[in-house]
Amino acid sequence: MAEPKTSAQPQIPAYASRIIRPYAAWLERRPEGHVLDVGPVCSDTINFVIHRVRRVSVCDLFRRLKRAIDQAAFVSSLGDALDYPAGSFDSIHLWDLVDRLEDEPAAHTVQRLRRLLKPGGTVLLIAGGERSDGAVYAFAVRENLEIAPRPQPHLLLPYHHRCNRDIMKLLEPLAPAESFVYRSGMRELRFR
Amino acid sequence: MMLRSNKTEHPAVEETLAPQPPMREPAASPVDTAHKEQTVIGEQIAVEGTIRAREDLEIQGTMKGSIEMQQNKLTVGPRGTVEADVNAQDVTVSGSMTGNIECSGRAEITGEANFTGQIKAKRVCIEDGAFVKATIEMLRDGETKKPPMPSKPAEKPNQQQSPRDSKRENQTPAGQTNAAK
Repeated sequence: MAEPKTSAQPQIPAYASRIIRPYAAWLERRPEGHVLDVGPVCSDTINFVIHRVRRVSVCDLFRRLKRAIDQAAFVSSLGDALDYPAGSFDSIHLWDLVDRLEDEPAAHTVQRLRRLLKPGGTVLLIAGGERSDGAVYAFAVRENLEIAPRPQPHLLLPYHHRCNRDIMKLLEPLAPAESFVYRSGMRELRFR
Repeated sequence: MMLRSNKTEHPAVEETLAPQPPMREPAASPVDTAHKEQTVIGEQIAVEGTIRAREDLEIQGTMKGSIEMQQNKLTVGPRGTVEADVNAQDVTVSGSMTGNIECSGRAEITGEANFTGQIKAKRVCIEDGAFVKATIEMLRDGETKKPPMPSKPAEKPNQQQSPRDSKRENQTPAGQTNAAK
C-alpha cells in the first residue's frame, strides 16, 4: 500500500461511465428501493437516485472522517454513525471511502456496511487509479448519466491506494458483478 | 431588535421617462403590490413549543418543538439551532437542525449546514460541504399532505427566553407567529 498523501485542487474531466447506465436500470426495477450514500454529499447524485427509488439515505462518512482526524479521535469508530437496522438498503454507494482508511478501520467500516445491505443488494465503488492525486471528489452523476468528478477542497484526507484485488478481498463475501478501468485511471466496480 | 416583522415592498414598475405620443394607450399602472412578510427569531431567543405561521420565518436563535407553515418558507440561519419537525412550503437550512422536514416545494441544505433527520420534499438541493445525515424521500404529485392549518392558532406554546430579550419582544408585533406572544 502506498504512503498516504494529500492534494488540493486537481481536475478530472467528466466521462461517460459504463457502470452507471446498467446501475440506473437496476435501480429503476426497484421503485420502492432504499439507497445509502456515504458521501461526500452530492446533490446531483441524490437526484439521480431519488428519481428512481423511493428513498435515499445520506451519511457523510468523509466529513466524519475529516472531523475525526482533525480532533485526533479514533477513526475506527467511523462506522458507529451507520446505526441503521441490518438489511436496510438495496444499494450502498461506497465511492472511494476505502482508499481513505487504513486497513483496520476500512475492514470495520466495510463489515458494518455489508450488514446493512439487503440480500441481493449491490455496492457501488468508484475510485481513482494508482496515479491518483489523492484529492477527494464527489462523483456527481449527471442527468445524461455521465460522471463528473467534483473536487472537495474542504476534505483533505489521507489516501491509501488499494488495488482491485485488495478491494475485492475487503468486500468479501460480496463478489464483483461489473468492473471497468479507464485510461484516466478511474475504476468502477459494482459488487453483489 | 431580536424578533421583528419585516414588510418588504417590491419596487414599483419603473415608469418610462421617454415622451409618449398623445393618442397612445396609457401604460399599465404599476400595481405590483406584492408584500413579503417575514418574522425573525433572533440569536438571543430560545423558543420551545409549536409555531404555526402564515408568513415566512427565519430562525437565527434556538427552537425546539414543531413548526407548521404549509404555505410559507422557513429559513434556519447560519447561527440558528433547530430541533423540530417542520411542515412548510420551502425550507432552507444553513445552521444546525435535527428533525424531520416535510415541504410541498423545495428543501435546501446549504454547504454550511449541519442537518440530521428526514426530508420529504418535491425538490431537494444539498450543497457540497453540508454535514448531513438524512433520509430523503421525494413527494410525488398527488401524495397526501397534512390538512391546512386552522385560521387561528389553537394553543400557545411554552416559551423560554433570555430576560434581556423579554421586554423588547413583548413590544414587538409578530404576525401570525405564536412565538411572539
